[in-house]
Amino acid sequence: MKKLPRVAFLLALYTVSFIAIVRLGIFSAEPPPFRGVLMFWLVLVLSLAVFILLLASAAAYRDRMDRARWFGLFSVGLLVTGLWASRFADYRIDVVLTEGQVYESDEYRSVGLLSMGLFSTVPKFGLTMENIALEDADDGSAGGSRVRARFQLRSPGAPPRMITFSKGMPQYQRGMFLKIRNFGYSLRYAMKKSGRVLESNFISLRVIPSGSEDYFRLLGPHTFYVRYYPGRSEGGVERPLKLKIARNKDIIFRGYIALNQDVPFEDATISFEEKRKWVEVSISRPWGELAAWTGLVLCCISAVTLLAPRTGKHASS
Amino acid sequence: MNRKLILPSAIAVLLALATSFLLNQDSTANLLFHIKNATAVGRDLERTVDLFNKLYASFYVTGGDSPGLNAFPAADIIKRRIFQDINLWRQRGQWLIHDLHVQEFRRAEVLSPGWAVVETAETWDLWLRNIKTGLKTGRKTNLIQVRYHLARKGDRWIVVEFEVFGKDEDLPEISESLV
Repeated sequence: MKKLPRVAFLLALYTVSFIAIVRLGIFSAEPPPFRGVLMFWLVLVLSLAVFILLLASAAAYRDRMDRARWFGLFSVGLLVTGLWASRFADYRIDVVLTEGQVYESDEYRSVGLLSMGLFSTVPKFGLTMENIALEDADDGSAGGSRVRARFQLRSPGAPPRMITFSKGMPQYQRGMFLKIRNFGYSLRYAMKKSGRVLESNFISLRVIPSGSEDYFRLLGPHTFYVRYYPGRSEGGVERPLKLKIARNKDIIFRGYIALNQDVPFEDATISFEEKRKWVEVSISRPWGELAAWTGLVLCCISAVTLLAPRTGKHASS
Repeated sequence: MNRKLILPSAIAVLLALATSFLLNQDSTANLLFHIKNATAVGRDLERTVDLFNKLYASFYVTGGDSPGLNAFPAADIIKRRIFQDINLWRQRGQWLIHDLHVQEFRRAEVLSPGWAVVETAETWDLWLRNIKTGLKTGRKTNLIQVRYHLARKGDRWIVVEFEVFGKDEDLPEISESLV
């Protein structure tokens, strides 16, 4: 092997080994996600250096390049271009929406933002959560593992569009991928003191399937644990919520309550006035990432092709 | 593979190993953790929760005036929640004395290299003590189960969250939001 291809091979080996070691998490507290490893600045620089060396090798030994090697070079090029494009241009955000809630991308640009390329801009769009239906049991009593959500999507210069999709069935709309990641019930709590409402907001809880417990905290040292049992009643009164209030380790209230029931604690009361559903929607413009994944798959195919026993005029080169 | 490439290839892999070692914080501690056996890790987790509870009680007894704050194996948000509570009691002219009677470990499990869960059954006696008079009132026995979530910081564990359940309550699945 000549000098230039040899250096390219060793640098590629160094890069792949580095990615594998970091991904295994031998020296870190937790193995980082694969995407995070690929977006690491050193990996980006190394992959670009490998590609440049491979290009230089191809130019220097053009007569030895066959179709499989050109394909390999193209795959590495696609992978590297995809990685850099992802670093600079991708956009991914997770948005939690309760039924009736309106979301404008440029108003809440950093809430739920997972990644945004250095030169990426926030796409202008708006979503209104119209309705969420649990497909296997509308009250969630059977687990509610399937969900179908109906949104209104707005973007500048285009008429609003109604879109409906289920979990596990991503949608491609106006240059973006939309995918439902999670869902549950939103309860509107009301904190009152002397009958006056001090604070009232929707809080999204993961209480599906029934019996699952989630909790929330407000400004004080109290934790409010909630379970939701749709349709549960006691003595003819529907009491579907199981509420537990703890002040650090001191449980100060535990019991089943009805919607709109005031529960006294300390010198205030808390009640749950309204129940709706929420979904978490992942919105992305992942063009760089798609190119990188395609490049990675092609690189694997190319490696198999190049390492397989070869015949013909380039077999010994 | 070309024989001339075997040594340089081995060097490339070793260099990748060295780079990864140098770029990570607490590399040695993390590596040692990965080779530690499960029993020893389980003991570390129980020791951490034991220390957490001892200091938790001492903060309440002394009204937050304790030299143990730096040794307290808890995330800042937990410390803030505890001291916020202590200050609220102080404003009422009271301390809420915590006395741990029973602490039984039921589960200590590492769920991923940086995250573990410990479940206990605990019995606490709680009293209110008047700050001025020192009189104790309102004794209450608190029988609870606690699920602690611990994160690993280098070679030590810290409590990053704890959930409280009644003694007869079924513990729910571990919340995805904490994973």
